[in-house]
Parts: sequence; structure tokens; C-alpha cells
Amino acid sequence: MSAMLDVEGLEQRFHLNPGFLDRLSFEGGRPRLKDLVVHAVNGVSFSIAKGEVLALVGESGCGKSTVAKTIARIYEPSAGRIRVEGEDISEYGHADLLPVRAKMQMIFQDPFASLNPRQKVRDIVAEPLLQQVGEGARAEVADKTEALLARVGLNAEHAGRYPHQFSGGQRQRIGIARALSVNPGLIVADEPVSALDVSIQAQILNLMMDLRDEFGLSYLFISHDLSVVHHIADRIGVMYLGFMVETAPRDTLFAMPRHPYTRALLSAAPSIQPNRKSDEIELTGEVPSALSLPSGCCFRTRCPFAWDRCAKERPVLQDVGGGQSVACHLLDEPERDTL
Amino acid sequence: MSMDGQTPETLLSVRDLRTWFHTFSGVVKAVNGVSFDLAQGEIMGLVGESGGGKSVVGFSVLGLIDPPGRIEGGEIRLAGEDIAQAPEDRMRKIRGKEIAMIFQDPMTSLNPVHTIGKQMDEMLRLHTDLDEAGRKTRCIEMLESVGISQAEDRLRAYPHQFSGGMRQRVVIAIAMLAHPKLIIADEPTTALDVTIQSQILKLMKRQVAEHGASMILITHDLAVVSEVVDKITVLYCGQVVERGDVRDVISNPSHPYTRGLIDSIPNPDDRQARLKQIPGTVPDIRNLPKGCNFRDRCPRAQARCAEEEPKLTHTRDSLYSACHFPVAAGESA
Repeated sequence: MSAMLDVEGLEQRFHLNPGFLDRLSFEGGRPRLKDLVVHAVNGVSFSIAKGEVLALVGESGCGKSTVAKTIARIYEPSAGRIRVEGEDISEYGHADLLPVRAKMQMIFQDPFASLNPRQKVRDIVAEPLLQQVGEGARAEVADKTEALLARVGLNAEHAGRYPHQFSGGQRQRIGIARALSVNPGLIVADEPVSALDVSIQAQILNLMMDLRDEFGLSYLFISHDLSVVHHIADRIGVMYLGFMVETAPRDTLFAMPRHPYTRALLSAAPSIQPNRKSDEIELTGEVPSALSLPSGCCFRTRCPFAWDRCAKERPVLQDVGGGQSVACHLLDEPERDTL
Repeated sequence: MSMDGQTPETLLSVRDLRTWFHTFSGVVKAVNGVSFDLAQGEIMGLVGESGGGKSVVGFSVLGLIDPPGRIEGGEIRLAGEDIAQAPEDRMRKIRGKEIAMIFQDPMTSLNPVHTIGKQMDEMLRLHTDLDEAGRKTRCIEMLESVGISQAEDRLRAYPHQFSGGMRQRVVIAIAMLAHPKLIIADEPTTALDVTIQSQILKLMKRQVAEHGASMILITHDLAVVSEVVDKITVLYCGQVVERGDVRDVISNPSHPYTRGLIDSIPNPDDRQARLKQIPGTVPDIRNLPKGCNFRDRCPRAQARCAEEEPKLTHTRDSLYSACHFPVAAGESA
């Protein structure tokens, strides 16, 4: 059986179009026009099995949301392959994508911006399905809409209201109902709970887990919050500066993180459990600009272990067993790991 | 805590603070009868969900409540002086000098059209009698102490030339310049990434300790609070529902709301298939239920909760809680 989602060598570059003078530079006295390119995603590969939850974590600017949006084909990929149930959609045009939308839907971070303020809730939830089945089936769509709203914890009375009449958590429920309307197999969820208060966040996470069991959904779950990711994910991919630096099953990643960045990320995460921290890599400095990537390893400018090889050679993901893969030269020279 | 075993002096004492907003759709009692004390050198966390009133408490202490908002009553005593109704010219002398503030978004709290150096210099010009050279030396020292290298050059830079984490360091540097007694930090790390957040929290804690100042840390993030503060005050619908030492509040809270908040944080050491959740949502603050504000969401609510508003009373250990049926140690809500 083919994977629900298979991503291979995905790259996403954005060309900036600054003014002429910003691009102009002189090299050896000769004028030259630079091309400013943001390297948002640099060759990311992973796959998601049916019913699996893969979480992508990382800090702002690491490309995790860009990966999500490129897979949902909001962006055109610069390179690489995206296969949904074996079907390569990476070069599909607008019309070709319509049947794919029935298999893959998205939930967005901001429950305020992702719902049309001038549509009633019932129309918001019905829209994707009407696109699929056509206007003729309005009556059936209306029944289904009502059932969906009930399933996500809203009632029939809510269907006639507008988004501004709801709280953040309720709006996220509407977004989930909309995504479910076409019975997709895969949901791409981009920071679905980061805008919510913690008590509401728990409600939405529980709902998402229940729906996964009920409908056999796969999730690509984007988040910066490690405790949320630990709760929901089966497998976790850690991204840094557009590169996947480590992937592992959830428990392995939390118990035995191998990449220095993963270790730093885990030790920096605040926790209400005292003395939980074992590994304490404290990072100094900040993430380099995606406009000019460092040579070699993307993480070397902040890595406490970096040596000359890291500047020369870009590490690739290596399988270290148990479903864990790590992109780090320390794997070859473990004696350099001094912590 | 003072080291010599004596009772530390109270720096800030807030009593029955009521800050209301008179809107067209009704009176929003954003802060309604909040009291707490903050000792010298102490760090207090003010936590709660959106709409709890935690930021309004901070703004009230700073005297930054604008119409339609008004401090309706109560006392805010800073080193003995009641500043709740102090005139604006007195507050201008207090803000920056006695009380400094650090806000969530470092881009909007710095002026984009002035250099960092000018903004730092302004603080010293207003609140100290140093000459120009003295002010510049102080600015450079301060920038270095918050971890900004090449400080002299950086004084000539504009806010947009710094990253988010660096900007927050600048904001902290400005806040500490005039050696304030009290720092109010409103969600200071919410806009930052987790590795940068941990740097900034350590920096703030160290700066507060070095200057012997006190701090109120306003945040929705209990994990952040638990790593930084000495004691916690939990707000719900504009009222204090629980307060106590950080360890007691985090590990064994006695109010069902605090218990629910802590249980709804996913715990990597004890993963459950389902998270415990607080049902429902925060009630409309213009139209609060009679009795306890939390009763509609509370698993322990009984008839008495609908009739009688609970008062903040001592429950156990260091905890004070506003609940008729407080949670026992080790019990779940």
C-alpha cells in the first residue's frame, strides 16, 4: 500500500524583488545585479502512512509552514515530488488539483483570518463539499454540514451565525468541520492550537485525536510547541533553516535526541516539571538568514561542537536504526561530542 | 526573600483594585477586587487565560488606563505611596524611574524612527542628572550587560536592524537603565522562539537579582512562570482565584481552575491518550453568573457555588484560594 503522503527532495525558494539599488552591487569595479532568494525549504523528504501523525517542529523561519503550504499546493514547489496516495501532484494545475482537495485538506493557525467574515458558518463548512459534488446536491450537503457541526461540538443554532460571533476555540472547530466535509484522508494542520488558550488547546487536541481514530485520518501537524507535539505525534521531524535535521518516532526523539539542535531545543523548552532537564545545550546567537545559507551544515554557526568539516561538507540524513535519522557529522566522530 | 532571615519589606501593595471599562455594551469589570503584595527582590507571576485581567492589572499599576477605562477604587501602594489616583505628572516621574515596563512586542515598544542610543539616552536624561558623556558610558555598559556586543556601534542602529530577540534585549536594557524598583513584564517572551526565550528569561532573572529589583511577570504560559517566579497569582474573570508559592501552585494547587489549567498542559513524562480539559469557555465578563465565576466550568460545583461568591481564604501550605470546595493535595479537579 502506498503512503498517504510521500514527499521527496522538496525545495521551495522565494525570489525577492527589491528595488534596483538594493540589488546593485559592485564586484571588482563592475556593476552586478544580485538575485535575492530566500531558501525556505532545502530538500526535505518524508512520508506519512495511513492513520499516522507526523509533526514538524522548529523555530520561526525554519520552513515548517512553507512545507505545509507547498504540500497543500498553495505554493508551487521549486523542486521535488509530492505524492498523495501515490499520485504525483507536484506539477498539477488549478483544475487538476480539485479532486486532490477531496483527499487533502488544511487547518490553519489563525481562526480569525481563516474564516470568511461575511459567510455564515453553514456556508463556510459546506463550501469545499459543494465544490466537489456540484450545486445540485445542496440538500444532502446541508444534512452533512449539520452532522459535521454536531460532531465538532457546535449545534444547529450556530450554523446560521457569522464567524465574529464565536470564540477562538469555536472558530477552530468550524475550521476543522470545514476540512472534514469532503472526507479527506490527510489533514495538513499548520499550528492549529497556537492561537488558543491552554484549556481550549486541550479541547481541540482531544477533538483532533478523536477524529483521527473515528475517520482514520493522517495528520501533518506543524507546531513549535514540543509538549503539544509530544502529545499528538507518532513521528516527529525537526527542521532548522529549511533542512530536516532529525526524524524519529516520538518516544525515541524525546528520550534520545541525537542532533545537537534537537537536544538544544528540548533543553530550552520551559516545563512545569522541575528537574526534568537532562541535556543542557544552551544555544547562543540566532538563526542565520535564509537569504544566504551558511556553507556546509546549516546549524554550525550555533553548534557547540562544530569543527572545520562542518563548514565544508553538508551532512545528510543517516539512518541510525529504530526509525531515527540524523543529519550530523558527529555520527562519524562521536568522540567530539563532549557533553 | 531576604538572606538575613528578616521579613523582606513590601514594595508594592495592591488592595481591592477595581479597573472597569465603560463601553456601549455594558460595564466590563476587567479587574474587580484584586489584592496582592510584592516584597522587595521578589518575582511574582500573574497568570490566567485571555480576558482574565492580568494585563489590565499591569497597566493599572503603571497608571496607563485610558478612557473608557477607569480605576474605580482600591489602593496601589508603591513603597507606601498610594499611586492609584496619582496625577499624570507624578506618574510620569514614576514610570521609567520607579517602575519600568517590558512589553510583549519589542518592535512596537521601540520607536522605529530613532536610534537605540537616542531612546536609551532619553531615559537617562529624564530620570538622572548624568552629563552627556556619563549617559553614553552608562548606555554602553547596560547594552553589554544584556549581551549585545559592539555596544558603542549598536547605539547608532535603528530597531529594525535588530532581530526579535536582540530587540527584547534592548528593551530590557532600557527598562533597567534608571535602576527601577519594580519591573512589570507583560508577556515578554511570547513573541520569541523557544531557544531565544530561554536566553531572555535567564537574562531578566539575572538583571532583576543584580539590581535588587522586584518583578511582576504577566504571562499565560505556566511553564515559563514556573521557571522564573517565586510566587504566583492566578486571575480568572478579573478576580484572584488562587495565590501561593510557585511550587505549591504548580504541583498541588487548591483551586479547580488552577488544577484544570495545569492538567490541560500536555506532560511529556506522563502521556495520556486524552488531555484533561476544562469544559466550556470563559463567560462574558459583562454578564457574569451569580456566585462563583468559574462554576459553569467546574466539575466540583454545587448549589452553594451558584448562591455565594467565594472569598480568598487560606487553604493549605502557602495557598490562598477563592473556592467553596477546594481541591485536596494530590487530588484531581
